[in-house]
Amino acid sequence: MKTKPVQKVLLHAALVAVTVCFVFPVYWMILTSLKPNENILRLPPQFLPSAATLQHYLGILGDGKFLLFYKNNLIVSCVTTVVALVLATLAAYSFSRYRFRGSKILMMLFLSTQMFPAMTLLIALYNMYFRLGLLNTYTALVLACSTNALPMSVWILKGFFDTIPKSLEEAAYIDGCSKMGTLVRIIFPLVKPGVLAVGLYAFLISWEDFLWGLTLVNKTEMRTLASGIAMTYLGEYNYDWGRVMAAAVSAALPILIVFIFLQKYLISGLTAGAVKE
Amino acid sequence: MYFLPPLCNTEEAFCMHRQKHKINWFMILLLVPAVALLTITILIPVAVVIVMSLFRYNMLDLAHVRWNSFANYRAVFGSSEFFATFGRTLAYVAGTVSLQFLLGFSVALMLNSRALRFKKLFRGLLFLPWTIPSLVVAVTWMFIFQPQYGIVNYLFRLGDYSVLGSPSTAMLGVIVAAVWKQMPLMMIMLLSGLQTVPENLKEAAQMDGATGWQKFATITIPCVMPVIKTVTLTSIVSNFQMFVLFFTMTGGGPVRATTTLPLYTYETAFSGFDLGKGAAIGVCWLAFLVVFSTVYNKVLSAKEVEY
Repeated sequence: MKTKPVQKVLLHAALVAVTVCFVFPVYWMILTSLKPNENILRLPPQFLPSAATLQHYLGILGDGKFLLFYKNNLIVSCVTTVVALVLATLAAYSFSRYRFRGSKILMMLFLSTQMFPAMTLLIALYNMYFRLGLLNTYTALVLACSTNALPMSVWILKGFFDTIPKSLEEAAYIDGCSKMGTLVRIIFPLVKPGVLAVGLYAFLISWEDFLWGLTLVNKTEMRTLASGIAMTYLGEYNYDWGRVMAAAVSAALPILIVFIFLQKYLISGLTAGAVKE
Repeated sequence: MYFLPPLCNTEEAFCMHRQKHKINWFMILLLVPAVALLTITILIPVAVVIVMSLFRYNMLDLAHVRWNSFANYRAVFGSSEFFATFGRTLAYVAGTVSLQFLLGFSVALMLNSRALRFKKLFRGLLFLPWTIPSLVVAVTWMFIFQPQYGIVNYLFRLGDYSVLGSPSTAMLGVIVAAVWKQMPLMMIMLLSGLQTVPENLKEAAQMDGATGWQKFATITIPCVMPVIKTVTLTSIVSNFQMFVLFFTMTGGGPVRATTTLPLYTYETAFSGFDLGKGAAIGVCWLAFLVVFSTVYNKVLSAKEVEY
């Protein structure tokens, strides 16, 4: 079927319009963070950059808090990524290769844990962590964020393991490779794209966290980015928008950069879970 | 933003190499760490929160925790506050999910069109908002909706009307931010679903004289139904839990116009120090989601077609 030229033009025009609407807020955020204060508060708004300044970035870098939030968030996100990856790889391999009575139910239970509202769990978790002395620790945040990332990570990786023929392991066993050795040296390298996708996903999920950082931590020096920005730069009425936007851009930047280079892997991992042949 | 894959099917591939009835301890051992983590951080807390909801449990008076014969639940169901909050949550979820589904599906259909050029560029740019952390989404849209020098007020000539500060539009403002952030994921999922629709089926229908709409309704929709089911359910469940946008953008106000269940639970338990009642609200909401997900899955599974 041939598409008429008019239709083709309309299609492109509609898509350009939607894309502009979706990209504009990102552009606006970055632009605002680079404008001097008098230009941020000017009407009509300036849509194109004129006088750029780094004063807002220098401001947040020098305030002694932002870098601390950043460091905390990097530690939590990196550890979470490793924890989620290791646990998810082991579990996904098991789910993919070994069937026992109840394994299907267990897998479903794994996935359905995401139905339980984090806010409800928080009431109990807060209590438990308080008693265990885990409030204001990286451990609490890593545990919480790993839990958020784990079910979907297992699901994505299981899909990747499912595509690897079983004969490969059997050959390795015959050649005298141990079970763990087979997983680590033979199978693991074959699911690298899946591991990359899950790593990105887990990092994104933990970088995204707001609720746990807000509630399981109450000391400023232990705050992560999202809750730290909300508690420090968002006052009651008058916001220093340049500073808020600089903090926002800095918080979004690592993800944005990682995403631009590794988009392909993340998308293929995410969609592999939803669309099964 | 969580992702909830389909709860059933797709497991058939397993049965092909069913093991003999011998317990494989190695494989069970591999499951232990993940199961342990989920037990500690989800299953035990669920049990604990159910128990807590049955007790008088005040954060300021932890010495007198005692059974209060369902007083928490009576307090929840006895006031209109819970039902009003539930209604607002439903309105938010319905608005956000339907808008992002309509938009996401339309965009996915456009991206799937064979006549489209620069497909990868469009897809990459449209996926961008999903990678922006929710808190950053919240502050960015707060600035866009800012009453004095915000861009929305300027473009739509709203004067110094505060979109997020007025009871009638605050919810809409949050919905816009939520759709902006979440639409890309839905679009990507639906697009990958659309790519699996068999082309030869559409050609065959074409030969038999089917119109564009007929092909869409009888071939495309049934083929992507499993994906539609997954993405909408995921979105419903995760939007029920939306906290950061409300907490940051409106704080539940003005005059409680945007107080949804997560915020209400949070306020009751942590600002009001009434952990027992907070737990009771949480349990009601958890029970609703579990029942809803099960029914939703059942109802939509009936509409799937395998070709």
